[in-house]
Amino acid sequence: MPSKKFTLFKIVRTTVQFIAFIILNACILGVCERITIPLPILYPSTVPTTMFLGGFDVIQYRISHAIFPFIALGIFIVVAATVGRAFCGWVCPFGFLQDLMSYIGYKKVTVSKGAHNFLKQIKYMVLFLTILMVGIVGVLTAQDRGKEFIDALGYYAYQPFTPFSPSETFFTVIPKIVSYITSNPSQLRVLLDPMLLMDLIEVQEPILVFRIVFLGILLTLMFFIPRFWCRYLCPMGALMATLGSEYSLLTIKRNIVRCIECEACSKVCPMQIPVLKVLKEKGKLMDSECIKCMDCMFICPENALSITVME
Amino acid sequence: MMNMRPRTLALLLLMIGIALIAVGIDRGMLPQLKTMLKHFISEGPLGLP
Repeated sequence: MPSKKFTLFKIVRTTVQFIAFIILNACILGVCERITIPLPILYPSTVPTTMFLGGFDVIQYRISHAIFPFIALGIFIVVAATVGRAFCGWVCPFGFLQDLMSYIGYKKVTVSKGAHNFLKQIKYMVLFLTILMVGIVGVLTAQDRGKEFIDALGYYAYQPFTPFSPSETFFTVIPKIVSYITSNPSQLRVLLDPMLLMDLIEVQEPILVFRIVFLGILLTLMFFIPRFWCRYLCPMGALMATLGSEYSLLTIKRNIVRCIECEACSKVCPMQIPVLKVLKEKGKLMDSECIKCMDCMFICPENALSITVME
Repeated sequence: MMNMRPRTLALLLLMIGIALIAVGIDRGMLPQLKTMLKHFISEGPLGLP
């Protein structure tokens, strides 16, 4: 049974995530001026209400157009060096969705150490393949060659990851489909004919069936494995980890006098980091997977963990 | 580089990040700002030639 302090903290973090979601979608409140600042979160820039740009979209777009993403990369490095992957834990809307799913989840599953260590490498592969793809397209664009190749790639040439992004499926594609169906009452008859409905939507969104099935699988997994997407598949998290989030100025330290080594911190970690082991070895919570959610700090029954900056 | 203290490495990364942002602003946004400023001075409320 979690302590009152931990429950209160969870409410605070969920509130912060909700407020961040509203600020990201400030158009809901009538502020529709888009600020072209890329944030290190997985949020599609195609959401009509969004005020900021999703970082990974910007990186893909600029590299594939043979423009070096100075500002985006600069922002990500500054964020990684100061607060690490805190945007994943406190701002990212898809992370927020995963947290909500895990709160209502039936039973948490702990992935075996070997499988966890293997699976967490997949996101780096996703990042590598995406950068390789946009890099090739970027070089071809810069040299004004391979037009046929780029045309053949079509949808996938400039943003190869985006069509597979569950965040885009959830926040852009599904609302678009719902809006399409509800805004055309005459089209409601297609609901009775699934094949016709699929044909209609498939024209607008290629690989729609794959996207929805993929999102469905992820949403199911999120019930049992907290932050499944962030742990194993998110290329934005992989990029932040690669840019040095492990060495962030903001981190967590352990008071060795107070610590009773109960492992509560390791058990609560949504990223399945062996928190106590890392703290013992490095003195601070230096791990590239850490999303700075602070769950470990607030679950500690002895208040042995605390935030430290520039230490 | 691996022998660096984490704080030193973080500060180094911070400086690299700031430098990249500065270069990005200089290359991308500064020309736009200059154009806006010129437009504001010549045709805006100042009305200078």
